[in-house]
Amino acid sequence: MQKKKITKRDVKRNLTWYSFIIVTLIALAVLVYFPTLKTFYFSATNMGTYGTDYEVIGLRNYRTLLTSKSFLKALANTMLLALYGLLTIPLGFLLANAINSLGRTKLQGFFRVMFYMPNIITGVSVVLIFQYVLKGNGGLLNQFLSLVTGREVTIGWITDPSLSHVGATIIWIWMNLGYSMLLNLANLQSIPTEIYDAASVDGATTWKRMIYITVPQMKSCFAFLFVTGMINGLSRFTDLYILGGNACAGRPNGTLQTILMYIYQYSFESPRYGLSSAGAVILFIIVFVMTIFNVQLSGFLKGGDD
Amino acid sequence: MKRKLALLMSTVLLAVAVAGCGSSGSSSQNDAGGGNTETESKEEAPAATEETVVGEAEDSFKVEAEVDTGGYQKNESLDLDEKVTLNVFGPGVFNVGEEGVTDLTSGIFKPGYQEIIDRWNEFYPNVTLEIEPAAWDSWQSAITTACLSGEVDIIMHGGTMTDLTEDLAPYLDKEPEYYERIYGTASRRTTEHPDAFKVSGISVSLSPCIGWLDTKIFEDYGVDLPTSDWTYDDLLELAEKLTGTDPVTGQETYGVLLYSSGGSNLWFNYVQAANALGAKVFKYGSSIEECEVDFMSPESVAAFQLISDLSKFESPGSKEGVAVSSTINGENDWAIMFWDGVMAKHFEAEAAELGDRYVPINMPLCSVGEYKGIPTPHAGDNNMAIFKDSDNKEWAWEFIKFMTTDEKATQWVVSNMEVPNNKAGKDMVQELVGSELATVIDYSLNTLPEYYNNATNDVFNNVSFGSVTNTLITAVDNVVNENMTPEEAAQSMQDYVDEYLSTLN
Repeated sequence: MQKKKITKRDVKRNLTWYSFIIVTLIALAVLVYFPTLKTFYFSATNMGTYGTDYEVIGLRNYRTLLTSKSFLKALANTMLLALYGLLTIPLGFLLANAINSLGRTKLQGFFRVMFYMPNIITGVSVVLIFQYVLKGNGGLLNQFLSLVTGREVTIGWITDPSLSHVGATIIWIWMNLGYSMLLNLANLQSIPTEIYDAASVDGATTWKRMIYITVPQMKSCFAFLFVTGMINGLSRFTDLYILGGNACAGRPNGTLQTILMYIYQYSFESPRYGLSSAGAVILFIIVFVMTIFNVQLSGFLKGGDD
Repeated sequence: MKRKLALLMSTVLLAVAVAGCGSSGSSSQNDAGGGNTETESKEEAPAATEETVVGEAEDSFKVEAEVDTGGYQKNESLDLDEKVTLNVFGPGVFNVGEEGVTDLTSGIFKPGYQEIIDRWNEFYPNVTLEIEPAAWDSWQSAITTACLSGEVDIIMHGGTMTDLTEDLAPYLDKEPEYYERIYGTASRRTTEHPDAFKVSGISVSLSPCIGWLDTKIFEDYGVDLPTSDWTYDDLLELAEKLTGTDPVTGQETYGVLLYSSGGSNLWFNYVQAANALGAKVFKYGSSIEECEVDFMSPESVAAFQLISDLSKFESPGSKEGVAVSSTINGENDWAIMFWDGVMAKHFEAEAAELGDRYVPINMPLCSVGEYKGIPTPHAGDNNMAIFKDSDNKEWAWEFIKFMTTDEKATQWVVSNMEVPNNKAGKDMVQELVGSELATVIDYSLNTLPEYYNNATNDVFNNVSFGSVTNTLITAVDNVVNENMTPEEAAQSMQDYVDEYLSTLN
């Protein structure tokens, strides 16, 4: 296909349309791209406490971080918590199926709203509430388990370092299940009923319809939830910060310190902006890779062939 | 089927709702109160926006005592015709706002900073005070940004930011009579001053950490109250006696509530214990690389051991950092508690009409080392520092002196429920909180070592060693929750500092 040459006249004619996006473009450039590039630059400097008198030190900050036990621990915590957080996808799917089975009734609307409700509660409130649910001594969950097992249960869901990921994941799931359910439900309801009808005529059982029709049809929804879930999980901060007593230490024993908390402590608590910028760049790269993955899964780049 | 499903989901919803409504007890009180120790104050001293602002106070307190504070004398040696604008920026005492706020606990009205401006202008009408309070959230970044803009003369709570502040030691040397009139300075250990502290600010108000005793629990157990010469051995003994089932009420009680239990300032317990046991962890050099750090000394390990021993008499909820009720309300399960928001605690007790039940006591005495025989040093403060690039340093110094010596300014500080950094202000404090607490405050402040600072000293340094504070929080938390032995906690600190120092090369 021969490329059309853009003339001055073309530009002039389209100037009105360009003027609509120019403000956005400038704002993006100034407020997003420029600071991002600056962060890349700062990550290669030894900028200290007050952001002055620094020099370029190459990749030393990256070496420091990637050989630092605490950073690697924060990285591992972040990845693990993000992965555990993906449990919202199958759970949301199951819940959506259950709600969908109710048919388009008022009851369905009620459950849809009710299960989505936790999503609109601020993270701070959720954490404060869950501290009481998950506390080892007399927490609601332990009380329930004590009732079920018939003996006193005192599991430190958020104080025992070996279980803190479980406690943190329970909170995350509670906060995000509604969103996952809603997306799954929307997708479920968009599957053409004719396919199910045809399968029923062919004698397919409910289970087979689920495996061979529903799940494949939900692939794009799962992909979207997977990638957004990972990205959200990788930038987890507020709930764990509060859970740790308003500190970035990631209590207990640093098991709940995420990369973002690590970056925060070197940005605001004991500023070493070079180091925190390097941490931010590493997080950016991880999120960027996830986004590329998303683009590949959703087939965004394939557009135009369709 | 649908009915069963609906029933199932209703059950799930109910469980979710129960989780959501599970908070029937008092809300987490982590670090609630009025402490304002450097790093801690970011979360503890509320900004004006967090309180009920302005308007008619339900109750109001105004120090009326005719107290001779020595007063502030107008400095005639300054150029009084010069038109100057003095820019004050940062968090601290001016966070009450221009018109003042009402304290939510006590209902007492705290006067705004317009009173200070008016009073200052009585002396110096040529100097315009531009006060811009900053919230405690990310306050250090806010100060840095403001200073980079160049329009700052006085940094509120800038004492910790030694790279930005003027060394005030020469100012004090010139005016020894002024130095005599105040309790202390906001000083820091820095590598610029390996053998001494840098006086990087002057405290406007000070708040010593003290103990609060629930006399009812002592009475129920038939245990005598400690006296001001108590030590950590006494504390441990008392804590053990007072932990158990209250013989009168049948309620579970716990001997002690550690400082900032479950909160982000838990690490101060190590600093207190290490000071009490004579540990010397940091030996300062002319650069960070040349500092020698030894967390593994027997005294340092013993400090972690002391925390471990004390935590055995703490409630499980406090150890977890959940439902930590440090607020005095009569339902506390602790017999002895440590806190540095002295005035706030007093008014909590007053608000609950329990002023007679909770009595203050100074910190246990240090048993060995440099501080042997004095109460364990710890005092929060709100300080003022002079920006090193200010064009108005003389006027800034004058304002600092004014804030710490003028009678009306001292009254203003006390009316804001703060302890003024002015020895002569003791009577005003006494008028406000009574002689018992005023005596404890005065004793604690008078015995505070010269140039002492909570956060940068011989046992700890939260400024120059990266995220060492978070590592110490983790270590203390692990000791309290028995996830680490004292030796392991000390080792984790040593490992962190060694790793940090290795990254500087």
